[in-house]
Amino acid sequence: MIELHNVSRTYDLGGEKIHALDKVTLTVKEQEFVAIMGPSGSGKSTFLNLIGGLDHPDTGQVVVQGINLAQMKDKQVSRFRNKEIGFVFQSFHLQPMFSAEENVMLPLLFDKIKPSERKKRARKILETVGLGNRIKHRPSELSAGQRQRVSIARAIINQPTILLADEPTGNLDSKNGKLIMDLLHGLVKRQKMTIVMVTHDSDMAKMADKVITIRDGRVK
Amino acid sequence: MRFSDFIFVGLKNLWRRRLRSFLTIVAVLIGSTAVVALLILAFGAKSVFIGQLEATGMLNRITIIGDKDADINFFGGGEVESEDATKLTDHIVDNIKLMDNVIAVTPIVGAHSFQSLQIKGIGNEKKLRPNISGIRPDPEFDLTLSAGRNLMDNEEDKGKVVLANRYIEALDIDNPEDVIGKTVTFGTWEGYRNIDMPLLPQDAPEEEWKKVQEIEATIIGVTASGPGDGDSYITEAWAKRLRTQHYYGPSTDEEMARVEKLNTQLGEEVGRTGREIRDDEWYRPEPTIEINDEIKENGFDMIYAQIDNAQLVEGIAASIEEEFDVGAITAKEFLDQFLSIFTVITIVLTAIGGIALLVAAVGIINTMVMSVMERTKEIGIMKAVGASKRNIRLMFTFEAGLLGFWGGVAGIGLGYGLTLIANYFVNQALSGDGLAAQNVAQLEWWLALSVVGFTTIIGMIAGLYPASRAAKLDPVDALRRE
Repeated sequence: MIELHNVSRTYDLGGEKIHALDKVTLTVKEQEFVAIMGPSGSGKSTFLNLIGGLDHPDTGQVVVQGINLAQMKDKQVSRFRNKEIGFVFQSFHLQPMFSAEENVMLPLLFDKIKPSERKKRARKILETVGLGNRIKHRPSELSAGQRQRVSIARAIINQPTILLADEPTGNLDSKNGKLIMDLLHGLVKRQKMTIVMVTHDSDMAKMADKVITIRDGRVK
Repeated sequence: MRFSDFIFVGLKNLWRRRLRSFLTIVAVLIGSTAVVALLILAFGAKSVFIGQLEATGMLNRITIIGDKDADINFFGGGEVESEDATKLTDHIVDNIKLMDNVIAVTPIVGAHSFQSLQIKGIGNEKKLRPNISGIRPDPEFDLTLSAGRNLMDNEEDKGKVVLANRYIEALDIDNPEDVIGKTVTFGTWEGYRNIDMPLLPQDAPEEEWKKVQEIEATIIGVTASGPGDGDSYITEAWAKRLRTQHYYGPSTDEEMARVEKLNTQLGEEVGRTGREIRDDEWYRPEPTIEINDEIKENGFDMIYAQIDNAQLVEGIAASIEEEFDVGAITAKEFLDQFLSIFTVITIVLTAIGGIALLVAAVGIINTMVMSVMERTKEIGIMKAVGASKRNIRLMFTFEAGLLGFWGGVAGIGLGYGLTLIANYFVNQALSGDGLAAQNVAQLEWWLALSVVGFTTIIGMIAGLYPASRAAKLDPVDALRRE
């Protein structure tokens, strides 16, 4: 499903080379719920960005669903991201000027779908995450937990096969964090998604099928 | 993305920063207004004006005057001062008529002795110095009329007039048809009698001599407004007679000899009786009554020759000048002058429009670059959810295009307003010049559309650089921004 072969990624931060990932090789199986753990700056987010095609390795190969991402053109990677990947971020990354519905509709904008159909699908997915009564609310009018649910709705509106979550509960209290984790868990089971979740909360990591620890750019 | 998505998203983003968008649009507006004004002049006014000259046959006409060096314009205005002018005779008229490509020739006999006109039953007397020209009717010289008909070549000599449109306007008559068949009276100056009137007896009372003389004519047509619409037309024969003067001339030598002889006899006869001779007993010489046919004496005022091909007018005018030792004027000189003014205005407007649009384009670039910087994170999010570089590039290009689009639309609005104002002043200026062309400033819808298209394209071109910056943003970096 997701394979990393000997992947290295180095960042140049103010003249200092930072090895975010150093010759990492690992595999995530289909419908697996994997948690990535490690201290901050250990290359966890880079890992997600590489899988999602937002970032490219310096050396090595990232193969998702049998396709080497490096061999795809921008248009194809974008389409792959649009159709197959859903991103969930720690700080939600919602558009403050857009309503919940409009935020959820965003991925559909990059496809030739009728506007009425986009609305219909956005409302349906918002109901799925329990926000059917918050459709017209802007992010500022929603609680942190609700915002993360909007963000998840946006990530899954195109029914992707892979959900990449970067500390999805990091900005939430434990109650809301639990709610989000249940939602993600449900997605693996019901929608047969593969989830890769970065977290440094070991309680959350416990809910995953598998935990991978990264330290100094290496898998431990 | 659908095409409508780009428009909708672009509008939405412009609206988010409406003040900045508005200010950027104002810059485009200034440029596009100049371009609109330019197009109105270059395509509208110029072609409308030349079109009106063409329609009245002016571009195919040669105006011939006796004096080669006279400073006279195409429409016959100006002063003739030279004394060695060639006399314009029927002989010249006939010979010009024989030239190749000349399809009609008419002498022009001005009847300039009038200073007022009044249409019976309509309006008050107007002191207008009516400009009346006698012509030899020919279908080739038929004018475009707003009502009635032209003079015909079998017209009665006198009593018919094709009235100048200018007077219809001056008298506030809405429909020129209303005056057809009506009688118009032209009045002379006080005491001016040299319009082919029989002489008063020499001892007639002074009031009789001082009276304003009038001639009457039936209006058979009204000229159309346009260049030269200040002239009224009557037949050549009538105009010639109106130019004929009757006056008392000095007595002839025979008469003087006869009277002297009689007075000598009288002196001798009365002298014999020894009494004084009373004043009223003397014989007085009879004055001669002189008739001055001015046209016969001095020739026609002008001759108009109509040429079948406007391209040949210049050449024929030159050969007429050479052959008959006369002056031959074409509309070209006048037109050239007119066009050179247009050229100057065109250059000025092109400069203003060009500079303004260049500045506006820089403004759009600036606005969009700022927009890209502000929306870095947003761009990152869009990339994360599946926006391709192409999507991002097009989104920003369209947004910039919309700035140009609204600038163009606003420019059309403002330009249209300026058209109305320009027409008001141009109509006034031209009618004061005897070149009344109506509403020369016109904005064609397709020109309006092309202006909007042009500014939209400028906007999109200006948007290319910021859009490419947006497209090239590294999504990982972009998402890290807070």
